[in-house]
Formats: sequence, structure tokens, C-alpha cells
Amino acid sequence: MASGKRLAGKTAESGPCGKAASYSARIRTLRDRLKSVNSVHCNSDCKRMVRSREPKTNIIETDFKGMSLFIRLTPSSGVYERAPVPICLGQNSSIQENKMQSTIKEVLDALGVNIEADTILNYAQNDPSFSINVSNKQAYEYAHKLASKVSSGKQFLKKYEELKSRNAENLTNIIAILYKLVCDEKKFKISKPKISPKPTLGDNKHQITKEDLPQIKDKLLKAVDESKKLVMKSFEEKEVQLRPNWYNSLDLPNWQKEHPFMSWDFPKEPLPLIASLAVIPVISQENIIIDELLYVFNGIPGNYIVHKPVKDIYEPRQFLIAEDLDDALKQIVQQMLPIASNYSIVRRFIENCDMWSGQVLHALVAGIEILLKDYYTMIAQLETEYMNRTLTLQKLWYFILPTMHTMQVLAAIVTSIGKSELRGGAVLTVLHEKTSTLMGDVRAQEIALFLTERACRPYFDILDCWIHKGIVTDPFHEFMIQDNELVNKEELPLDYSADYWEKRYSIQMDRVPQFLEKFTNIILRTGKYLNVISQCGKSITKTNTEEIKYSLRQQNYGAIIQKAYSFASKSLLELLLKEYDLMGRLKSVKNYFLMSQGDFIVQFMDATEQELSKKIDDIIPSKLESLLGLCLRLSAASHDPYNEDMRVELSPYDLQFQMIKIVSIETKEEKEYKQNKDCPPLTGIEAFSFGMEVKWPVSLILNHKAIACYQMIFRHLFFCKHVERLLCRVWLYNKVVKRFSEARLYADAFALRQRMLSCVQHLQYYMCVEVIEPSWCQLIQNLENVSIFFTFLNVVWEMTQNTFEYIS
Amino acid sequence: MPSEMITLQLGQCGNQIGFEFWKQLCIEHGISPEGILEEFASAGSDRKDVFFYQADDDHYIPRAVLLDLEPRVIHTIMNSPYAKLYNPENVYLSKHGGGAGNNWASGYAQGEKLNEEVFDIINREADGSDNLEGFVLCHSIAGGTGSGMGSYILEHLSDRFPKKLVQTYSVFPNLDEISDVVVQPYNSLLTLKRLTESADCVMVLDNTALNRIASDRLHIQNPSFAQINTLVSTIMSASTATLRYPSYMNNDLISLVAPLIPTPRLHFLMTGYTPLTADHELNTAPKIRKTTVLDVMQRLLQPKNMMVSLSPDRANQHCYISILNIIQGEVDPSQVHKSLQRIRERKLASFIPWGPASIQVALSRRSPYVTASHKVSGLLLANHTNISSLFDRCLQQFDKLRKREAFIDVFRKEPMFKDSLEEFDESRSVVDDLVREYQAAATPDYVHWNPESSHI
Repeated sequence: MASGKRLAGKTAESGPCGKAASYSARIRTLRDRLKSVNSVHCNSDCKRMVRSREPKTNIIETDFKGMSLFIRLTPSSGVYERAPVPICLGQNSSIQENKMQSTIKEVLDALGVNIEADTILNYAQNDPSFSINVSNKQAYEYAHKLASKVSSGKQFLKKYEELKSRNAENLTNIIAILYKLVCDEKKFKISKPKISPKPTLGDNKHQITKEDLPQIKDKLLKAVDESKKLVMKSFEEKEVQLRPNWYNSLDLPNWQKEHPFMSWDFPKEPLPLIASLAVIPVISQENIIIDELLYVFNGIPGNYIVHKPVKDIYEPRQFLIAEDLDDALKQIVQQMLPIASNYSIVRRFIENCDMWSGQVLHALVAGIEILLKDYYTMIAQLETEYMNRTLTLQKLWYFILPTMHTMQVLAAIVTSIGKSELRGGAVLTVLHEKTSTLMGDVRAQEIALFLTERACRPYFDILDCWIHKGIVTDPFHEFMIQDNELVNKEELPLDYSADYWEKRYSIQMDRVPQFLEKFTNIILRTGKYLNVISQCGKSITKTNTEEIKYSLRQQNYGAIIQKAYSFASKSLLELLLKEYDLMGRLKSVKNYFLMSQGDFIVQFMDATEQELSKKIDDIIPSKLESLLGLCLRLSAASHDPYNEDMRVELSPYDLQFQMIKIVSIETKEEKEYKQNKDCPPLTGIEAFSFGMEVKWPVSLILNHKAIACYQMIFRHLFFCKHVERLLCRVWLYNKVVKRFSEARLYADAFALRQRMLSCVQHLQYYMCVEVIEPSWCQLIQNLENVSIFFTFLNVVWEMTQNTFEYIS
Repeated sequence: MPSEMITLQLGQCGNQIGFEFWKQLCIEHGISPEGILEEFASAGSDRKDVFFYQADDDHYIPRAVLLDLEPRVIHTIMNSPYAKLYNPENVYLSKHGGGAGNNWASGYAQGEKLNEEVFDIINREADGSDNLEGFVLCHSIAGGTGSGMGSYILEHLSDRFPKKLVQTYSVFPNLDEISDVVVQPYNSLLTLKRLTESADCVMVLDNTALNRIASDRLHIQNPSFAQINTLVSTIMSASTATLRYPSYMNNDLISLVAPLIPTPRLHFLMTGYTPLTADHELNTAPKIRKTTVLDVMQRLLQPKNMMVSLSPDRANQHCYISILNIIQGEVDPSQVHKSLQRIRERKLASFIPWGPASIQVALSRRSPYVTASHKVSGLLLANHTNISSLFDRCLQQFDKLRKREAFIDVFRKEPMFKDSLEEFDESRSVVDDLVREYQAAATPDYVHWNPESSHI
């Protein structure tokens, strides 16, 4: 098979036929390909490095169509003290900054202005108006105005469009800033009338002589080399972060560097046109050129058509066609060459994809490879046709026409992904957008849909695992939910389970595919619930067998996610209610904190009265603890299975202070209260509150915050009870006087006591019977939904707070 | 255990009431007549230890002391299925068994004589409890033992246990009928003095009203003692419900009683209970009544449901000093709130001008072992100034006898009255003071009221 031969030519050093031999000979001349990835970053970083060595060059003079624009670089810490390796700032922000920097750089290059990207960035960061969103339309206007001021206006506009097409971040903002800079130019002049002398290299006093030039050149080269090394190192480090530990033990060969000819793309270095067509008649030229084209379509340079090197990996490739080809043929060839160019882009994208690009990109690449296989088949068929001498240039043009379109779509997709260096969920967003925007073009949409569906698979696998098992299996950090494994359950103190719940898993918004955006929270919760269940040592049986699939119209993922969510929340609730007896727990909270177990409270107060009336510093907590234990065992509370979890807590401030601190309203009274700090030390009664040890996973619901709320309610109730008891005791002491006729004289005092007692009892009645009890009943009714619990808390809390404010 | 109560049953009436009370408590707590906890009641969250204690073999024994000077009633109790319930050491029968002959002075004198033995029992009981809250005394004020011996014990209880609450359930005689006890007015007055000075809280159970309720509300033509006593035991059990079924509030007796009694002397409370059904009607009578909180609370304020018969208040000068409603059953707190509002709007209850004017409500659970025929039931404990009319009638009857010096000889036999009848006059002035204090309490300047000035 001819196509087999072609394919073999790619990998084997020599082929059986002469054509292949000459081809391989040509290939040998190619040098190893250098990695051109991240060249933009390299540049800006290099420059930063250079500048940080010589901070004297803090004035950059630029020429803006005759007007001179001076931008003073202030030696602010933001620019100069930043570490050359920006990783320390936190991966995300540095990446973002880098991206932005590169965008700025590109814009500036297009403008033909020689300003450091950092300058703009720095300016942007210091400018408060930067954060204001600029609409696309505005940005477009700005861009045109800018373009009119610059000599290379057209080039700039082109660049702008290109950047816009690949969704460069903050582009609109950057344009706005640039525009502002240009407009504010006069202001700059005013604010900085003194123009510092132009920076010179070397010694300022001496004029630079011609003898110095080679020296300077050497120095510069050295500096550039070193900085390049440093930058490369920084990128390696960044990659290392993504890599798991076993990577270093794995000795992976770097195929692309060692064997550059394994590439299915054109060689990196350009080849000369080695033959001339001048002597060949036009009729034979057609045959030769068909053969040439078939090679070129495969990414192999021919004898008469050769590729030009590309600067950027996503730049369309240009070709050089032998001068002496017939003009008519040349025209057709020119028409057909875009397919080769697009193929080259796709190939470069595929080969640029390495081990660490992530599963989504791998799946996408695999999908593209499937499409390319068809493409190779087509080429092979064309070659067979050619061998049979039935292929003409017109026929070839006719055959490849549909494929040309396909290839163009592929290249467009690939370019938009590759240029913005997307990975993971973001790739899916782009693919989804492409799929839905290509609505009019059935064939193109089919391709996009196919690729999206393929690329979605690994992502959906992770999703499936997450929403049905509660585990994140995401080695390449692509999934929208990040597992912060550092927050481990065992390491946490018991009462910080709330933190665990909040912090263990977090959503990475930039990894959420657009079509899953509305499910984001549900997805997060589903997995979390399942995770809790498995943390409790329960196995989760996967109930769903339906595969999550991406499709344009029948989107089943929504239903599956919803189903998984309801299943997860239901099973978690069941687990909590049945296995961990949440209701029992809540009842016990009600019994102790909300004082529904009145006899226990009475008994406890009887027992601890003496101890609690002491000053807080004189109280022996262990004594209280043992008294509590005694009361728990002796009262009706002994039936409660959770009475052992009760603790005694003494807080260093009284309830009022705590509340004011929380509410934190700056009223006059409050200030007075704060100033009035030298009040006598608290007594035990004021400081006392119960504590409760709540074990995982009930602590997710009865978390620290909830318990604290209950404690505050308790302290208020407890104090009311205490006052009531004191008044009752006064009553008991008073009763003796009834035998004496002098009793009448105390009637005033008795009436007052009566009012106080009545007030306290009515308050208690209100809080207990009209606030706590109804909320409790409502909670019981609403407990079908877990989240209602927090509403319950709020209700009770708010109402109690109201009562509290009402009294004080 | 905190806030235990010791029940003292004195005399014929006291023991009969007590017997019914314990019967009721046993049913409500699921305790068999032998004192053994029924199986269905083992997981209860009620507090049996307020009124019972557990013997070594875990069976429940009431904290009750049964005292009588004649054996008839106690013998009936000891022959009933509940005989094994009581601690035999706590049952004290006078040795000669002659009774007090419906003579207060005799009862008082015998109480003095048996002082040692009786207080031995009481002290032992008191020592047996961790944190005694007080005593409940059941007696009638008309007879000999309950009134005479009861008076003696009351006086000494408050001396010996000055910090404990002494609550009495005192049965007042039926003043409409001519009693077979001719010295009843003497007995009543003498006891009233002790109730005023030594008891902390007196639940007035008026036989007149109880009979009226039995015939009017329950349609029993000639109510037996047992039927009347069931009414009393219902009230006794309902008024202790919040103690035995603890909830947010009112978990000790003092928190119930203290708000009801603003000044120490005005401690005579009347009670009301609704809805009442007699046993014989339970199955036959159609269930026509729909009990709601408002309904119950309104009915409780009607005089016909009151267990005290008061002379009509024509001048309309009397008012409530305080009211506590104990509502049992399935109650929605919002309903309570609405009902209170309705009552206030309609001015169904007028209050003293010098104190907090509101109805207090205590919600209580019901015993899970008793099937209630009504959804909601309520007990009213009220301190009303018109209760003085009851004492006033006692005074009038006393005065009638005293004027003629009738039957005074019976008293002269006893040492207390051998030399003089001063005790009568003293008691009369105490009760008279009480009546006037109650009347004064209805006026706004009660707090500055001076009994001496009003004498003139």
C-alpha cells in the first residue's frame, strides 16, 4: 500500500522506494526541535530578569507617532522585589498574571511600542479604575482610537481581533488602560517635568567607544543566557508541582527532543527547494505536483513545495512553491495548501500535548486522531487513484474540498484551545461554545460535537465517580472540585468538623465547564455527602448505571446529577437519622441547652448553687464537672443515652458582652458599656454554660457555631432561672412574717417582688413555650431537608435575640 | 432527688382524700397497687420520685404518713388492694382508738400527746429525702382529728421546718346543710387560725361547691364520699402535674405557688377544673364537647366550675389577686396566646390594682398511661379576694354559737380551754383580720393598708 509506505517513512529511517529514501535523507538534515512552548512567557520573564539587575533603567522613552510618552517606572516594591519565580505568589494568581502579562506584551508589540509589559501591569494594579469592567464595545472603540494614533495601526487592530478571538483574559481592560495611558500623557508630563538622563550602559561618564561594543555584546548575551536558564527552571518547577511523586523515579524518554523526525508535522527547520521544474513540461508538472501535494498534506515537505518555519505553534503555516511552476497549476496549489497548513496546526497541537496536559486534552487529542485517521485514509485513497493515473489536479481539488472545511474547523478549535493554554474543564467550555455556535454548519457541528463528546468522557468519568462515590480521582487537577487533602479528619480537633465540611473540597470556578455551571453547587454537595457517608465507614452502592454523556439536545447529565444529589442527600440524612440518631441528639440538645428537661436543671442548680455563686476564678471546674455527672445520673436525664457528652464550660465574659460583640452595633449605650469595663469579676452563674461533645458526623450539623448559639440561649435561660429561684427563695424567707402583725409594713416590698417574679416567669414562659417549643415542633416537621436545620437555628436565635434586646 | 414532697393524711377525711390521691398517682405513673412498676411504664420520662421513693426491691413507696385517732378509715385502706403500697411504719393509729369525737380541742390535745411519735415518723421521712421541698397536708377543718391534730402538727411543722413549704388541702364543711357535727363552727374557726398563721398555701376545697358540682355538672343525685374525693384527687394530681412531668418551667412547687401568693397571709387558693366527667357517664354520654384552649380557659373562669362556693359579689368589688392555669393535653402555644388575648379583651377576669395583672399559664404533659377523654383539660389555681366571704360565713356561724355559748362544755374538758376561752377570741380576731385583709387587697391602696387604722 502506498499509504503504508508513507506512514513507514515517518518512523523508519529508510524506505524501500527511492522517493522515501530521498525524503529520509532530507529529514536527516533537520535539527532537533526546540520547545517553543511558552515563548511569550520566557520573553517577558527574561526582560524582567534583566531589568531587575539594572534598576537604573527606570525611564523608558517611547515614540508615539511623534508625541513622546514618558512613563516613569517607580521603583515600587511591586516590580522590583518580586521574586523571579512567581510561584511563591500562589499558583493561580501567578498564572493569571503571566497570562495577562503575555497579553499585554502582545498588544504592545503590535503597537510597536517598546514598553515593558510589567509597567502596564503595575500601572493597572495601582489604578483603582482597572477593576471596572469595560464592555466589549467600549474596548473596540478604544482599540480603534489607539490604532489611529500609532503608525502600525492596522497591525495593532489585527492583533486585537486575534486576541479577542482566543478570549485573552482582561483584554478589554488592558485596552482601556492603554487608552487611558495615551490620553493621560499630558498629565504625566506635568507630574514629571524633570526628564532623567537617558540610561547608558556601563559607565555613565565615559562615552561608549567602538572597542567596548564586543564587550557589551558579550555581557548582554551572557545575561540573556542566564536569565533564560532561570526561566526554564521556573517552568520546570511549575510542571513539577503538577507531577506526582513517582515522576522522578520514572525515566521518561523525551522523544520529541531525541527523535525530532518522529513528528508527524513538518520538520522544524525549513528545507530549500531542491529541484527545479523549469525543464519539465507543463503537462508532466501536474503529475509531479499532485504527488508533491499528497506529501505536503501529510506534513512531509516535498521537492517543489516546502514549508516555511513558524514562529508560534498556532501560526498558520506558509509554503514556498517552486518559482517555475506553471502559473495555472500554482493557482490551484495555492488554493489547496490551506489544508496542509491547517493539518500542520492540528498536528502541532497534538504533539504539543504531553503527559501533563490532562485527561481531557488527551481525550480530545484521541478524538482528533480518529478524525485524522479518516484523513489519512482519504490521502491513501487519493494516492491509489494517483498510482492508477486517474487523478488530476482538478479531481484532487474536488475530492479534498469537504475535507478542507473539516480541517479548517479542527484547526480553529485547536487554535482557540491551544492559544489560551486551556486545560481541564475550560477546554470543555470552549468546545461546548464551539458546538453551539456552529449551529448553521451541520458538518462542522458534527465534528465539534464528536470532539466535545470525546473530550467530555474522562471529565464525566471523574464526575461520575464523584457524584456516585464521593471520591475525586483527578491526577491532573482538571476537575472542578479540588480535594484539599491536607485537611484530614484525624488531624482536626473534634469541634472543627465544620471546617472540614467547608474546606476539604472546594470548587475551582475556572475548571467548571460552562454547561455544568448551574449544577456546580449540587455537584459539590453530592460528593461531599457521599464522602461523609464513606468517612463513616459505610460503603456506597452505586445505584445509577446510566452513563453520563454529552450531547447537544438530550442532555442527560442534568437528570443524573439531580438523581445522584437526591440519593446522596437522602442517604446521608438517613444515616444521620438512623445510625447516628440525629433526632436523639437534637432532643438531648433540647433537654439540656433549651432546658426542656426542667427537673435536671433544677437539680443541677440545687447542687451547684454554692459553687456557681463564687467568683469565676475561685470555681473549681472539676468540681462542677463531677456535680454535673452526679445530677445526670440521678435525675430523669439518666435515661438519655447522650448524657455523657455533656460538659461544663465557663466563659470569661458574660452573655451581654458576648452578644454585643457579635451584634457589634456602635450605639451610645454600647460604648458606655465598653468603657465600663472595670465592673466586678463575673460570678459563676454569669459565666456558666454547658458544653457538648459532638462526634463526627453529627458534628457536621451540631457544629461549633450551632453549639455556641445554643450556649448563648442556654446562658440566657439559665440566668432567668437563677433569678426566678432567687425570688422564690426570698418568698420562702418572707413567709415567716405572716404570724406577725408587722407583716403589713412590708406589703410594698412584697408587691415589688411579686412583679419581678411575674416578669421573670412570663419572660421564661414566652421564650420556652412560645419561641422554643414551636420552633422545635417546626423543626421536627421540616427535618426532611437537612438544610432546614440551619433555618431553625436562625429562627430560634433571632427570636431569642429579640427577647434579649427587649429586656436589656 | 430534688423537691420531694411528703404527704400527711390526717383524720377520716384526710385519709380518704389521700387514698384517692395515691390511687390516681399510681395509675398515672403506671405503678401497680403493690407498688411495682408496670412493664409498659418502664421507659417513662416522668418523675416518680417526687412523691414516691424506691425500696431496696425497687418497688415504689409513697412518701405518705397516715395518721388517725380512730381505726375505721385506715382499716379500710389496709384491707384494700393498695394495702401493700404504704410503708406500714408510716401508718399511725392512736392506741386507744377512741378518736377525737369531732372535738378540735381533743384532737389538739391528743396531737400534743402523740407529738413525739408523730414527728419521729415525719423526721424519718424528711431524712430519707435528699432535698425536701415541703409537706402536703390533707385534712378537713370541721372534724376532730383533721382539724385539731392537724392544727397542732401545722404549728409544729413550721417551727421544725421553717424553710420548707407547707401546703394543705383543706376540706371546708358544707355550710348549706345542717351538719351532724354541732361544734363544726368552733372547729373550723380554730383551724382557720392555724391555717392562716402556719400554712404557706391552703387549697380550699369547699364541700358545698364539690357537692354542687357533683350534682350539677356530673348529674349525680346523691354523691358519695368516694365520688367527691375523686374530684379532689383529680385536682391534686393536676396541680402537681408539672412537678411529675417536668418540662421547661414550674418544675418545683415553689415556682407554682410563689407567684400566686404575693403577701404571706393571702395564701388561700381556690381551684377549678374542667372538663369534668363522671365515671358512669364516660361511656354513655355522647361526646358533644370540643375542648379547645380558649374554651377551657373561659370555663375555668366561670364561678360554677369553681370548687369553692362564694357568696355572690354584688358590689363587684372583689377581684383576682393572681391566676395560674395548668393546661394539660395537646396544646398549641399560639392558641394559649390567643385565648389570653381574648380573655383580656372581654375583661373576663379583673385583677388587683396593685400587682401584675395577668393570667399565668403552665403547660404540662399528661400521663401517657391514662387515656384522656378530652383533648385539653385545665386546672385553675386562683387567689381571689372574694374567698373572704367563705371565712365571713364561718365567722357568722361561729358567732351564732358563741353568743349562746352553746356546746362550749365539750371544749372546757380539754386542758387548753380549762381556764379561759381566750383561744376562741384570738382565733376570731385572726380570721377577722384575714377577712379584712382580703377585702383591702381588692383596693388600690392595699400596699399602704394598716389593719390598726381600719379597726376604728
